[in-house]
Amino acid sequence: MLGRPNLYTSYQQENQLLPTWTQKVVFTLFVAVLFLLPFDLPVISQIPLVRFLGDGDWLLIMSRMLVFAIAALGLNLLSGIGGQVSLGHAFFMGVGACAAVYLGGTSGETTWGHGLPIWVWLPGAGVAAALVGVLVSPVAVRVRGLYLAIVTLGLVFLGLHFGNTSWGTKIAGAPAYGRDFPSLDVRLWKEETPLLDVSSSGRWLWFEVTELQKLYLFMLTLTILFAVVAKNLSRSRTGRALQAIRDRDIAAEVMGVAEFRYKLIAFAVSSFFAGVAGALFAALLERLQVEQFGLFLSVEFIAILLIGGAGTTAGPLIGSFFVVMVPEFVKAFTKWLEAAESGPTEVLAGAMLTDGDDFGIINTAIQTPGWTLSVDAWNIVLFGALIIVFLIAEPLGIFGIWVRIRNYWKRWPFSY
Amino acid sequence: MTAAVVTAAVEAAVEAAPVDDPRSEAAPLLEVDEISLRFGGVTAIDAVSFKVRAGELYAIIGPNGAGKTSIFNSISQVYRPQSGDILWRGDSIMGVRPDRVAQLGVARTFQNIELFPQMTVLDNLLTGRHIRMSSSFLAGALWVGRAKREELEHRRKVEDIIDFLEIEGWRKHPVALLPYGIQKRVELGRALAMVPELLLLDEPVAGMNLEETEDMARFILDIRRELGITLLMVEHDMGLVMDIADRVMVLDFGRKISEGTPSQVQRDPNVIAAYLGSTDLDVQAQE
Repeated sequence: MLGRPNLYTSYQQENQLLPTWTQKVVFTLFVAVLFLLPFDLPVISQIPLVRFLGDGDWLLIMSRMLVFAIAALGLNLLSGIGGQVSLGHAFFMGVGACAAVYLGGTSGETTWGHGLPIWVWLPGAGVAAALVGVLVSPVAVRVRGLYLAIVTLGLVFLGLHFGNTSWGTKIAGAPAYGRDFPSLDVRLWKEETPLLDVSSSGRWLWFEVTELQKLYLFMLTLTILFAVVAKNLSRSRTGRALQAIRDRDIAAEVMGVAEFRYKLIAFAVSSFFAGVAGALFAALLERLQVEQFGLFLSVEFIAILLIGGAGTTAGPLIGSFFVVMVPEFVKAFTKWLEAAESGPTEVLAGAMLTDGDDFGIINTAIQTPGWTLSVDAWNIVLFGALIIVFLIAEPLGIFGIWVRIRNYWKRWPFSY
Repeated sequence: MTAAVVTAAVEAAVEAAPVDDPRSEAAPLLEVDEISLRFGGVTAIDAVSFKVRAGELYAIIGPNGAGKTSIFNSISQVYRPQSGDILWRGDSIMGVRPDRVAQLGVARTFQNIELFPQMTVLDNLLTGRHIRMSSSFLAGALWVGRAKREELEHRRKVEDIIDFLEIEGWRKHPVALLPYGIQKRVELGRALAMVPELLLLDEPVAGMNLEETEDMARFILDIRRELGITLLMVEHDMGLVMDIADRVMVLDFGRKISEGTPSQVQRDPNVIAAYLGSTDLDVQAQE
C-alpha cells in the first residue's frame, strides 16, 4: 500500500477526499499545526512566519485571512468553477452583514435589530445573501463574460446607495459611522449566558485561551467546514455541471445540463458563502460599515482567485493567505529593519530604508516626499504587480506552480 | 478505405443485421417534418423531411454548407427552425429546451470537438452521466447518502465505457492535452454515457487517418449492435457512409435531393450532379 500510493483497488478508495496515505498524514499534520499555531508551543512558535509576525495583532490578521478565504471559496464556486465572473461579491458580503446585524443587533432609536443569537444570525446572513443572489440571477444568467462583470459591478453601487437610504441607515447605521455588530458568543437564546464564549478571554475546556486565540480558532473551524463543503460541491454532480457550463455552455446544455438552473445554484451558493463571510468580517471589526463593502473588496477577491488559482479548492485558500498576509509581512519586515541596530541587518536597513530624499527603497517618513514609496504604497504596487505577473506567467496561480513542482518530483529523475 | 476495412465493415454490418429490419414500417423514433431554418436571408434548411426508425443507422451526406449540421442543431433544439415539426416518438419537441431533449434520450457529438477541455476524461464522461444522476446540490455539498453512493455507482458505469472505447490509459488526463483521435473517442464516450436511444454523430471520422477511421467504424458498428442505439450520422467520408449506413439522405443547399439505400443514392443522377457538378439542366429540371 505504501509502496504504490497511486494504485487504487476500489472506486471507493479513489473517490475519497484524500485518497493516499501520504495525503492523509500530511493533511492531518497541517490542520493540527493550524490549530496549535496561536499557542506558544516549543516547535510551532519557531516557524519563521510565526516568529516574524510576532505577538501583535497577527492572530486578528490571520482571522481576517480566514474570513476572506470563506468568501473567496464562494466566489471560486461561481467564477472559478462556474466561469461566471462576478464583481459583485462585496455586495453579497454586505447583504450578509446587514442581515446579520438586523437579526442579531440591538434595536434602538436609530437602528433596527432583534438581538437573536449567532446560530440564527450567521446562517441568516448566508440565507439572506443567497436569496438576493437568486433574485439577481435571472438577470445575471442572461449575460456572460464582461457584461456579467459590469452587471454585478452595478450591484456594488446599489448596495452602497442602500446604506444611505433611510431604511438602510436603520439597518446599517449612520453613513461612514456604521453601528455595533453583535459578538460571536454562542448563546442558546438572546440574553442567556454563552455556551461558547468567543468575545472575551477565558477557559475553553481545560485550557486558558485569550480572546484573539478564540477568534482565530473559531474562524479556522468555520473555514475548514466551508472548504470541505466547497470541495464536495465541486467534485459532485453539481460541480461537474458548472465546469461543463464554464468550458462549453452549449455542449453542456446538449448533454442535459439545465444551464439556467445550475447558474442559479452557483449564484445562490456563492452568495451564501459571501453572506456568512460578510457577517464574520463585520464581527471581526465589531462594527458594520457599509462603505467597506465597496468595489475594492470585490477586486481583492478577483485577485485572490487569480493569485491562488481559480477553479481549485486550494487556490482560494492560498490566495487569501497571500493577499492578506503579504502586506503584513512587508510591514513587519520594514519594522524589523527599522529596529536593526548593528551587524548585517543594519547595513541592509541602510541600503533599503530612507526617510528623506536620498536613495532608498522604502521610505519611512510620515509624509513621503520625492519619488520613494512608503510601505503602504509599496503594498499597493505589489498587489497590482502580482496580479499582472500571475495573469501573464501563471494563470493557474500559486496552486499551478505547486502542481508543476509536484509533477516534477513525481517523475524525477525523468523530465517527461 | 482499403479493401480490408470495407470487407470487415461489411461483414460487421451483415452480422449486425438488425433484429427488426430497419426497412420495415415500424413507427419512426424520430420524424423530421418539413423543417425550414433561415438565418436572415440565408435558408440553411429548406423544407427537409425524413424519418429515422429504431435500430437504424441513417446517414446524412452533402457538400459543404448543405445544412447537415444545422439539421443536428435543430434536432437538439440549439437552433429553432421557423417552420415544420420535429417529432420524437410521435411527440413534438419543437421549442423544448436542449437539456430536456437530451433527457428524452437524444445524445450527440460535435463536428469540432466540444469536450470540456479543462476537465479530465473521467469528469467528461461523468458529465455525460449527469442526466442519469439525481442527487441535489445540497446532498453533493455534504457528500452524504445518495450523492456519495451515486458517485460510486456511476463511476463504475463510466468504467464500462472507458473499457468499451479502449481509453483506459487516458482516464485522468485533462482532455485538452489528448491527441485528436482520442478526443473524438472521448466525445463519443461522453454521448454514450448518457445511455441515449438516438445518437447523433456529426462527422465522427473528420480529419482522422485511416487507422483511426477503422477504429471509429468499428466502434460505431459496436454501438449499434451491442448497445442497440439508433444512429443518425453526418459524414463526408463516402467510403464509410456507403459501407455502414442503412439509409442515406443527400442534402444540397439545404434541400433534400435524394434518399435511399447507399447503392440507390450512389446511382441517383441528382446526387452525381450535386457532387460532380453538371451542365445537364434536365437533371435539375427533374426535381
